[in-house]
Amino acid sequence: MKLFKILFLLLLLLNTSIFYAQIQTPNSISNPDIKWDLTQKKFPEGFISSVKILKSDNDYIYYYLKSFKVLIMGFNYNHFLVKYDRKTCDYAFLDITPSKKNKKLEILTADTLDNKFHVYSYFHNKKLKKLFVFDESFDYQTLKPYNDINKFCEIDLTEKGSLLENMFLVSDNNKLLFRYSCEDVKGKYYGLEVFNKKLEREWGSFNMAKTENGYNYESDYKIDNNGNVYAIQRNYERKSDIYKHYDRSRVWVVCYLKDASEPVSTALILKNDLFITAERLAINTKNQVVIAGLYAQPGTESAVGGFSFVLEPNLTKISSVQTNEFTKQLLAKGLDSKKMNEDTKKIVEKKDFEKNFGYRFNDIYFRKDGCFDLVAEKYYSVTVTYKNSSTTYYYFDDLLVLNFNADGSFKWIQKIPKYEYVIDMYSDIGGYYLYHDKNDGMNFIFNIANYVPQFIGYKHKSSTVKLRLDKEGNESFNEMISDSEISCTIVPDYIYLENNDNLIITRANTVKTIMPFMDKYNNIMFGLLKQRN
Amino acid sequence: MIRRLCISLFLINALVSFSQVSNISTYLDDGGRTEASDIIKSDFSEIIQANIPIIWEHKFHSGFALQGGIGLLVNHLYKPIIKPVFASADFKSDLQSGFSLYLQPLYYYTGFESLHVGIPIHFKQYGNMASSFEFNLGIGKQWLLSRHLAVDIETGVGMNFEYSLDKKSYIYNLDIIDPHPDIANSFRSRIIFPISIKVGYVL
Repeated sequence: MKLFKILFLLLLLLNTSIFYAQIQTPNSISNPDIKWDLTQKKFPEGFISSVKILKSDNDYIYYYLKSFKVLIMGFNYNHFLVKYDRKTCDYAFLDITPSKKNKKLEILTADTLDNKFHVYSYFHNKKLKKLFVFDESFDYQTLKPYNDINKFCEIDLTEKGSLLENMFLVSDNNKLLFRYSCEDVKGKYYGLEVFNKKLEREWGSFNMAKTENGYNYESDYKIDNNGNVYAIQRNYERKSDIYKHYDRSRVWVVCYLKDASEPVSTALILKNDLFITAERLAINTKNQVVIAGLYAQPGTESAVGGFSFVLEPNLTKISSVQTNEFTKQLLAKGLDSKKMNEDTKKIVEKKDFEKNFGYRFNDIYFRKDGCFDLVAEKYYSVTVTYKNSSTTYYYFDDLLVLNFNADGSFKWIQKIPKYEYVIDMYSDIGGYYLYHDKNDGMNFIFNIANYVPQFIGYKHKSSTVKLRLDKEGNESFNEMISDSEISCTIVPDYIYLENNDNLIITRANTVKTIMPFMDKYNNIMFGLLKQRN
Repeated sequence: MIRRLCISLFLINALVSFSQVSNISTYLDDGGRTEASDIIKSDFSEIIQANIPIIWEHKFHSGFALQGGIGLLVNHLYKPIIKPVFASADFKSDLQSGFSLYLQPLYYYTGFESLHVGIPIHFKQYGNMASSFEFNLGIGKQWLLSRHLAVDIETGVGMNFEYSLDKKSYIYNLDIIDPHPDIANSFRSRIIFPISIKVGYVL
């Protein structure tokens, strides 16, 4: 028993010291002031699953809220516009769930367009063999519907095989792209429909879009100034390799031209058999296609360098291919505090030192001078089932920040060591929020969080920090919230940058919820962080 | 006065909502396919095994549905048309008639016209001679060929348990699966791979 007590104390001390070591950096500045509002009253229409602030002014914060309700079998999502009074901390809301008006309508997505809030829904009419897409708009400031639901897209499925239920709508470059897919005996087809911001159809295509034999998966759709559509296509030879063995896949960039019947494509190949582990596509102001990301060496999964491709419009020519191998110092940065018992050098020299981790990217961000940056977050989650109960562990790990010149060459690469090791509902406090300030600085807000096993269950310890990289990649550091109880409810995804550069921080008490006792913490709280610089 | 005003506002609101939905009602009209929640079915694959079932299916909200049915075992009218692979002895030659019960909870992926998974459970009582209980994990798909005609095909893997008073195996008599078909035993179990083809009238 005594031995057990000593062991427990040792573990506690070790854990605390790791936590402490992480948040201390030489440039640490004192806590900034956050003025917290009162806790909002419990949301009455289901359990809050996400919050997106749309706009704020001196009096109100307008946000879009998604909630879910548990049914006898499964659950359903409901959608609301909420108007929050900053003085009284009270709110009013409007239910905008399309199925409330007509059960046949399924929501596709919801977002602001031209100062209105639009809810896009669809219906697959199996009698007419047609797919209809509808739009309805709302005034999110007065919480009033415009009562203007209308059909803006109609797709005849008569000779297109079976419709697959994986359609989506993307908003990019003041245009909307609706992507759907169908399957018949020959294989899978992708349908694209492009609309302007008045939701008038510009063009559409229906293609197999096969770059090569095997299994082709398209993602990351972007629209250029002329309305052409670009996407990344990853090709796997074997089904068993899909999303498992990136080294056995090839990456293509595909361009669906507005006036051509067939898409054009170009393979993205790096020298020395280096292969692309993760990538992102964007269109710059010159209509050039920019693809940037991370690469690994053959037979491994760990990213050891960054790359960029710049292609001329319509993929007529590859203008530039750049690679930059990470230095040992960069790879080792931050490892000392995480793997105290392991030899850091040994870890970095291991051929596959980051196995199991994937990379999550933000959108490529272009600055006024054409330079651009990209952030990759190392990420991993695993679900463990033990005695009929399962727990999902989330690992939101280091950030790799790649900064490029306008021609695609590398300016600098930085690594932000962090760990956010959280469980179940606490996954919401993982990840990071990024905004670019007026001086081209990149500001990251995230929680340094860790779950601490208890005799019964676990608890989370966290602090919220802000890290700034100036345009040369130099770091400065703020600890924003040291109170673990508060930090454990800060959701980076819900942070909102106001026009006056102040930040609205959201405390989502929902992360504390243990199913099925949802009611107690079904509320959020806003705080205002006034920026000093 | 306030009351009148409230009623007027309510009516205006209702009218506006109605006219909104009616704007798109042409596109939403699929002849009642989406609203359909009840189907009366019979199972063709059971009929050829001398069981005439009538099944009622009701779809609840969120894709969950329940099928329940009763059937007549008519071995006195005709012998089962299909015969299990590898059957050795005279198949079901002596079986008495009786009744069957059927229940299946199932989940539709996207409405009635889609893939579904379920657990079909069958109980058959052959007079006072033998009884059979079977269940399986099934996967299938349903098509509505017209507003009122549904076809549902399902397959799966599961277990069958047979009980006979005289300790003979009547129902399948599979040498391959049953390790001791000749040994007197009142209780037998087997692995089954059933296929079901149901045709129904959509209410």
